[in-house]
Amino acid sequence: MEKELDNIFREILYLDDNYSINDSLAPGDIVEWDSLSHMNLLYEISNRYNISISFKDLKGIKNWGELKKYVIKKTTNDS
Amino acid sequence: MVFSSLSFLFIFLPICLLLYFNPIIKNIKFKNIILLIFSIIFYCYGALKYLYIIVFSIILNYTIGIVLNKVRCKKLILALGVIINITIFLIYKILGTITAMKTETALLPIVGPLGISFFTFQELSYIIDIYRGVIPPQKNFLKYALYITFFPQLIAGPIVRYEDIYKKIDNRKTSFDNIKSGSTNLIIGLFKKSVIADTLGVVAMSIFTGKIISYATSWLGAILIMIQFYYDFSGYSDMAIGLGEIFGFKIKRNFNYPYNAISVNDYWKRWNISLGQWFNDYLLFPICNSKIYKKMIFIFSKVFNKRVAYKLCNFIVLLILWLIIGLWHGIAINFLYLGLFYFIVISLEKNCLFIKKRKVLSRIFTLIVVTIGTVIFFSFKDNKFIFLKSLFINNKFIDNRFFLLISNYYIYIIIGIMFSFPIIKKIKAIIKNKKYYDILHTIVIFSMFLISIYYIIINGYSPFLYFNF
Repeated sequence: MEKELDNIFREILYLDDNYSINDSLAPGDIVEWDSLSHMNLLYEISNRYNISISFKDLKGIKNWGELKKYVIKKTTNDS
Repeated sequence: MVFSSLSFLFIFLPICLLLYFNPIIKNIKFKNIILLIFSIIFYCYGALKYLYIIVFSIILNYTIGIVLNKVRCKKLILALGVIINITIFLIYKILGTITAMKTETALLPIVGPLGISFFTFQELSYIIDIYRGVIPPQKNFLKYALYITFFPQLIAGPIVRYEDIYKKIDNRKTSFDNIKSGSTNLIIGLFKKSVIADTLGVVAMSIFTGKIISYATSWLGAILIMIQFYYDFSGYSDMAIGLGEIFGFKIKRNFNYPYNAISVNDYWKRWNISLGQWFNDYLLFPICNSKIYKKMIFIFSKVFNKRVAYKLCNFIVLLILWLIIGLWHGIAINFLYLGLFYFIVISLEKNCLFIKKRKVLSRIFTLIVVTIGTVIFFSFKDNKFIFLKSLFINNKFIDNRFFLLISNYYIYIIIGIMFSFPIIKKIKAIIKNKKYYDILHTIVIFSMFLISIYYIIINGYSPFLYFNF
């Protein structure tokens, strides 16, 4: 699932295939990850996995790795 | 009352500090009451006739906060709260703009309730965060009133989130280091405002409102307005942060060298940071999570491919966002144009790899855009945008006035430009561990204080530009 999420990340942020995505990446680290693409990313994830991502939960998430962990946990709990 | 006034620095603040740090008063409750009383006095000094609005707003949002925590129909209560807050805000914004249009000053004069844009947004964030479950409601009315009226941030921000400050309302300690660092920030802000912003502001306004006969003078005027605007607003924010620190509160920084931005988008992440984050959390997030937005993506994805669908939806959201940011500053045509201008530029930047991938070009592009944006911002009374046009259409390349202004004000201009970039940070990193650092730091800060006082005395009263909003 982590790989699948990385692919969504690459797709929404229009990153090259050779760009290596690491878990410590945070909004602002790369030009492509601005507030609008962040919203697109959240929409795509919530749509793909049929989960709702609350503002409260997002407050504590600092980087891509944490967001992935949150999504994996959420999909496991919801299913 | 203005932070950079003698009455604030030598009467209001010393009395407030004497009472606050009085060894007899140790209980935090009494310290809070002292801060609340002084905050109300501070507000009344400049806006007594509008006190009822802020009092009503505090009672309203305090009550909504309590009710939100108890009822089931949370959405309805929140919607009601948001509508009432925005209605009051809009009424006074429109009335303020109409009154301002009738005055003879070149800039937007101070009309309407002081700081309404800031305390309304602060209170909206409070009730929305309670609805979202991010924060608990404040049950003590006086503590809530202190959160809203706390004088360092009341009139021109930064917009302080309740979640960042509520623990400090109940429990805070002021150490010597807090006071030292707070005083340093206060003096730096004072220097920025009284020495740089006020001095260059007079020159900038004389160019802005006078007859322009050369490109060089026009661009000099625009650059001076940029310097004045940054030093004025960031100076106020530094003072707010410093005062907060002295009283044991930590207010987040509101500026991060905006003219050092690598893109226009980056500039808005560095300028008035608290406002940008507010729009991000309370406007962008709800829009992008709304059913309409989701439906829009769904429909566009059917017609075009997903990539185009996202781009189209982002354009629409960006347009709404920038129109609101523009009009937040005032219901006037120049603010509408300002919003449209940044919408176009940021859309272009987001989709133009040519600019994005070249760092030097991107920085130059950003500075030019911001210069034009600042001129549009200040063209409140210049309906025909005469000054803006003079940047691009002029008779001469250079004139004598340009040389005269440069020879008279070059020191301020050099200092103004130099310290708009993180030079101090680099110097500090080099000498931080040297033995003489502390003495040098004290001498520099004390000298800045004395110079600021001298400028306040010779320049007289000068309100902050952002008081208008």
